[in-house]
Amino acid sequence: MVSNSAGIVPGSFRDPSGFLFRHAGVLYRQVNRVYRDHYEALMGSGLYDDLTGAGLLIPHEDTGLEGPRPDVSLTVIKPEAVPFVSYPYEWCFSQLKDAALATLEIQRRALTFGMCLKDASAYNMQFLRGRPVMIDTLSFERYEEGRPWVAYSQFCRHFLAPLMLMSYEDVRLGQLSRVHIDGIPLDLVASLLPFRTRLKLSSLMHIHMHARSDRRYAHKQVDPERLRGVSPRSFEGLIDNLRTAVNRLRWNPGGTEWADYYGETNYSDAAFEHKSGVVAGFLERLGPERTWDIGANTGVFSRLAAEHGAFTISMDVDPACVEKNYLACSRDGARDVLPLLVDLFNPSPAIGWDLSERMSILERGPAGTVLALALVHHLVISNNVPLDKVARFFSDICRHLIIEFVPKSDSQVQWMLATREDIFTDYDRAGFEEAFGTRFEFLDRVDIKSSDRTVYLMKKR
Amino acid sequence: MRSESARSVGLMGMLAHLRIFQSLFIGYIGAGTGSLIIQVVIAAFVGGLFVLKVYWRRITGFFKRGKECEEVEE
Repeated sequence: MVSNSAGIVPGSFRDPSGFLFRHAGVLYRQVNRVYRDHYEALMGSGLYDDLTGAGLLIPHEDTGLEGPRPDVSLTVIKPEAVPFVSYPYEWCFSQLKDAALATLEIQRRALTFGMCLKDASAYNMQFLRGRPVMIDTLSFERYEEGRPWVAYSQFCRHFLAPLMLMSYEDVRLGQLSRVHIDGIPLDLVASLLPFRTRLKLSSLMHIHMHARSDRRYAHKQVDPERLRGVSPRSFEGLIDNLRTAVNRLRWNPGGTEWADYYGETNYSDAAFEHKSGVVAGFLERLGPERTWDIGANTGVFSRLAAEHGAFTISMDVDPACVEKNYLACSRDGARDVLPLLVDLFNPSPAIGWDLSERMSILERGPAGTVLALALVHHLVISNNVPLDKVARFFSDICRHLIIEFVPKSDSQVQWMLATREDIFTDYDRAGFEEAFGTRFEFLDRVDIKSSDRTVYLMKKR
Repeated sequence: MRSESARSVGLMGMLAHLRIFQSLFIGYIGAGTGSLIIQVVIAAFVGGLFVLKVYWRRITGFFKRGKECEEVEE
């Protein structure tokens, strides 16, 4: 036996087909005997090879090990490691849309092999090498002709509902997925969507009529034998219709305050070029394996970190920045950058049963190296976080820190102070160095040409 | 009487397209009765559209291929 129940991943308990566990730092999945028939169908039908070949399903190795629950174990598999686990409420519009389309493509292919998805949770999708991939190998079951898609409601709540809210109403409504861990209730979605969505066939059927039917039959017993089934052709039609509906949804990441930052900031070309060179030099010295670029904007420096070999989590609070970042990474094939929507002032918390189903963003660290460029003035001046708290936060999450100090003389800071009282008496270079000096050793410090800014390379004491 | 006949024909058509469930909807996630009922209705409708779409593509594909052959011969 490779582990005891202490190694079982806390969020892996809903599906009786198996569960995830860690042993010696490696993630494994125990497949239970109750799932034998479906697992053999997945592996034997050719579906596994088809999906892994297309990059839609995580590949795994059969280990021959015995799992933590040998009394119910069929086998133990070792899935390929995903470098960073992210959640749907941390994805931009196009990330969620791509994950939805990948789920539907998996379902379409599964039908041709006589199988179907028994769940369609957005948490079953992760980003690997820049593309969405299904990580739950146990989500498949043999298709029974006439049976409806049991995951239809879940797909609508996890994917279609947030995408429609983001596309038709406001992109920030995607954050409702954080509150509703099993997808946004369709009656809530129906009440939030604008009236015109009742005139569009896809939203009328999959959201408004769906929500109404849910409400109507919420407390009614219906004999399943009295219900009519779904023919294979109708099943195909349903998946095709959902695919068309998702494909047509659009969101334009227009000019927000930060999405146009590099285009409109007072940073001169010379200063920007010098800063890029300094950061590249620091990355060269560190050779980090993993970097968190916090306040990444559209990910210019995240891609620089990735070019230096670091798998980089590129975090920003602005949905437009994350969208532009993801689209640019997809276009340029930047497979080692994962753009995520993260608000540093209210970062993703632990959620779900026993607060252990989904990890907080900080539990998914440590970061290794953190890039905090043009960020510290937002933390201190826009949000009143004292410098020593900022230093403590960074020392908790990383070993090396590349951080830019932006003084009060900078026009950005002056703009921030224009409409408020300057209560930040210790916000100067000396105060910054004193706060960070207690927790970090300064390895290097370079003043950026044609600006008042300074970039530091620090190592945690 | 006539309308009843029409309804019966319509119902027979639906039954020809829809199949009686052969098993209960046993899954580890609750699919929801209302969701299953509306899915049957939606699937029947979009399934019909899907058949039309497939045949339409075949027809247009046939003529496109014919046109391509003519262009090659020219």
